[in-house]
Amino acid sequence: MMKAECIVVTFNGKKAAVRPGATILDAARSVGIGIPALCSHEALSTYGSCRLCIVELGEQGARRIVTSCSTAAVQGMVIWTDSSRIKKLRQTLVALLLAQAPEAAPVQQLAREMGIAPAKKKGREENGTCILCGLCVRTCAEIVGSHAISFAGKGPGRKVGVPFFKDSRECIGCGACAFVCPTGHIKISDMPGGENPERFMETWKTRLALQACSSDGRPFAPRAMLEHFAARYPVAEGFLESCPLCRRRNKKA
Amino acid sequence: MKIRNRKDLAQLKKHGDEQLFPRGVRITVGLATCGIAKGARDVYGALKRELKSQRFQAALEDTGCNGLCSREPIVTVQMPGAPLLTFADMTPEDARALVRGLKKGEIPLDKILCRTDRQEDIMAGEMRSFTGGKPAGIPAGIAARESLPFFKYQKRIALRNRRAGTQHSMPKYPASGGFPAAFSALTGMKPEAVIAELQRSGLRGRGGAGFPTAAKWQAVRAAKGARKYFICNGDEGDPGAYMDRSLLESDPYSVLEGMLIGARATGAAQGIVYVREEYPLAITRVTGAIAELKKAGLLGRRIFSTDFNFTVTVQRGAGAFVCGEETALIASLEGRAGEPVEKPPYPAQQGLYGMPTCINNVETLASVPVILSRGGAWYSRTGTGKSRGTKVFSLVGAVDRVGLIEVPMGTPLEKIIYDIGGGFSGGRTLKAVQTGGPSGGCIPARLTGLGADYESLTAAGSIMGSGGMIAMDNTACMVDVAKYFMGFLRGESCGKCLPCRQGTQVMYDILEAITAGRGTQQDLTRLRDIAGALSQTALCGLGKTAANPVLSSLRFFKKEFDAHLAGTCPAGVCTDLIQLSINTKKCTGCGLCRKACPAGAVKGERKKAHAITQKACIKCRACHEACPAGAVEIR
Repeated sequence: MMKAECIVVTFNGKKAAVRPGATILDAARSVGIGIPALCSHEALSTYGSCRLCIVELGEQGARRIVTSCSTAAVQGMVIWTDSSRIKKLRQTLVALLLAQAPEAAPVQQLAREMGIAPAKKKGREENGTCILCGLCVRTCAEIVGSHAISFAGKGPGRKVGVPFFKDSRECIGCGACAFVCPTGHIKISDMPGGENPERFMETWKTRLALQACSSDGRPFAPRAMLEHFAARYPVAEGFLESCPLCRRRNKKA
Repeated sequence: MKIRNRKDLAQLKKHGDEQLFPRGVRITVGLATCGIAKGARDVYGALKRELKSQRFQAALEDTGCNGLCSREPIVTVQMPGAPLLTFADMTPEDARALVRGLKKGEIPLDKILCRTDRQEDIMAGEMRSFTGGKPAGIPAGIAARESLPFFKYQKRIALRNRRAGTQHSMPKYPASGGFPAAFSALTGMKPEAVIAELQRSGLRGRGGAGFPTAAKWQAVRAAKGARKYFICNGDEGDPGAYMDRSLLESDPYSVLEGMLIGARATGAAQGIVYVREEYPLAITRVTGAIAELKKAGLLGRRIFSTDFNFTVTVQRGAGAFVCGEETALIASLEGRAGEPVEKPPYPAQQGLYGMPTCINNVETLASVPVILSRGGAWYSRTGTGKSRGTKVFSLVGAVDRVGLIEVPMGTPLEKIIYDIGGGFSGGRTLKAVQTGGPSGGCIPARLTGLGADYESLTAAGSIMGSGGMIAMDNTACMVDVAKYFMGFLRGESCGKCLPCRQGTQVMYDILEAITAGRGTQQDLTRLRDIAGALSQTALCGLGKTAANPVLSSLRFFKKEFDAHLAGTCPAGVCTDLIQLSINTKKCTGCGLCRKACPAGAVKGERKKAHAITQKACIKCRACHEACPAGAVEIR
């Protein structure tokens, strides 16, 4: 990158050149400064719910706190990513998150790094690993375009789910939610055997029929998912009928 | 009739004057929610039937709340040339007696509250006489309205149309000075001049945050967008606060006129009144007022024959406290869940459907027409420091005269509590004043010399907020109060951001442990730590201020927390920490406590001292309340 295209900010007292228009979080990571963040993802819209990525802005004595995922870095900005104030606040936040989701691995790891004792009590029912970061909700809406899952309830009773928490009509069984989930909370199991092979989205209590490959007869993907993508994107011939493996094989032959 | 010019307005005003000051007898009944709750509909029905059966000619009308909610149902009687008479605590029987008396030419005086000979027309800045200067043909010895402490110390600007006998109806609103302000804003003044007048007034948002209204309007005016929205925020949700409900119920036209002026100043063509579903009467009244204004051509296309168009619709909210927050309110209007998003961008730049949006509180808007009519300089003469004008408070809690009041900014809290509110009866004393609702705090009795203005209340660790004011006496436990507010916030947090979602829950759990006698010193440290994280890292205003009730209680009532940690509740409120017992020296053996006890825990023979079986006692206090001798003691 040419110097002229960069803006200069100060991280923890050291000057650094970063890409203009980047968030403080991205800018920090681009120069090797780690900031914990659980609800931010480069492919998704900004959400700002976990608040772990807080940083201080400004000079000593007049510093204010912002979330680095939602604030753009601008020329001359003075940023403190691990001041004692930020560290103490992050510690309190992680302790709160640990109390909510004591079995979530990334939270446990952050707690270990910060020297927080493991939570004594068990988390809320069914929610021991969900940190309510909303990555799955945004992936389903923004990337997949299904809008099958969303938050329900409010306050401490908030949880993620499909409408009425079962038998979603919108879920296509693509599994992008499980892929993006940082804690492994979302579980999927395929049952390819039997008369009606299906995919079970355990967390969403939703079952989807699997399409059998026309060439080798093996179930390879949820029918609803294939139709969803075929309706939106130009797909290869035989996309709906054959598994990718057979399609490639048939093409070669 | 379409209102197009000054002449039409004058005619409408004349029409309204004829209704406000009729040739015959005029009787009004306060039928806002407070009146209805205390049986005013029955009083209205009784009046109607009695007027018919006695064949007595009088105009019977329903009106709004006059502010003295504790004395509802309130009825006024107006006879040509006589002072207006106000009756309080009316029952259907009183109503019938009133009509019979009027027919005989005598006025029954046992429920009389006051007489009003003349009252100020704040829009015109002049006094209007009911008697026309003639000697009053009513009995002597009735207190004048302006001599009653409840009214004497108030200055009513937003509540201007709560004067005796005025009403929420189309012709009567201009009779009370309505519409000339909007007329000048649309026809004579440039939008910049309207904003400049507001700037001079020093008016700040009455919803809680106190942002200067002129600056907000200017920001929306300057913002670029294909269209702009003007929203009236009626999502009032603080426990104990009902200023907005009362304004929308009793005087919706003043709020709508404020919106019309604001729309012209900001360049908005679409208005929305956002009201919570729990306010059915407010929704009905404001919807009705919009329809009347449309009929009169004061909403819709080419208002006052100018090229200015403005429409207003009512949007009902599902009653989530967080939807009072601007970005959550917008989300709710757009049909999404009411969850806040990060600011900036501010609604003034990117609000509803991404367009520049002005959001003002109900009370703010109701004050705007007066500022234009009387001038910003006149308005700013009232008040103190950076808090100019007046503020409406709903004064509730343990004071004798609860009600809706409006006082100059900076009026000392003690004046509000003792003079306007009438203080406390039955040997009770003031312990704390809660202002600002769940975002505010408790101010101890020793600090009530403080003025009710933005800066003083903030310095005392509370906030002005939207105007709820709860007076608490010595029977209130401050730890229990803190727990109540935390429980409220835990239930109203949207749950989006971690510190608010989990912080309110954990703080509530700690407070519950303390009130149950399971608290430790370490818990107080944890409360402060979480409170710090909430105020510094929460996403929206709800979360940022959620710790205030706890922090202010810890600041002023630390001793009470310590007492709970040591196992006692000084106010005798927390059931896990108290014991009820009967003082055998005082007990007369009347047996009332035994009869009152739902758990069968009180034992004793007639005329002999009774005793409470502690194991069976559920600490409901029924015996304490039933005992005529004060023998049941709480420790």
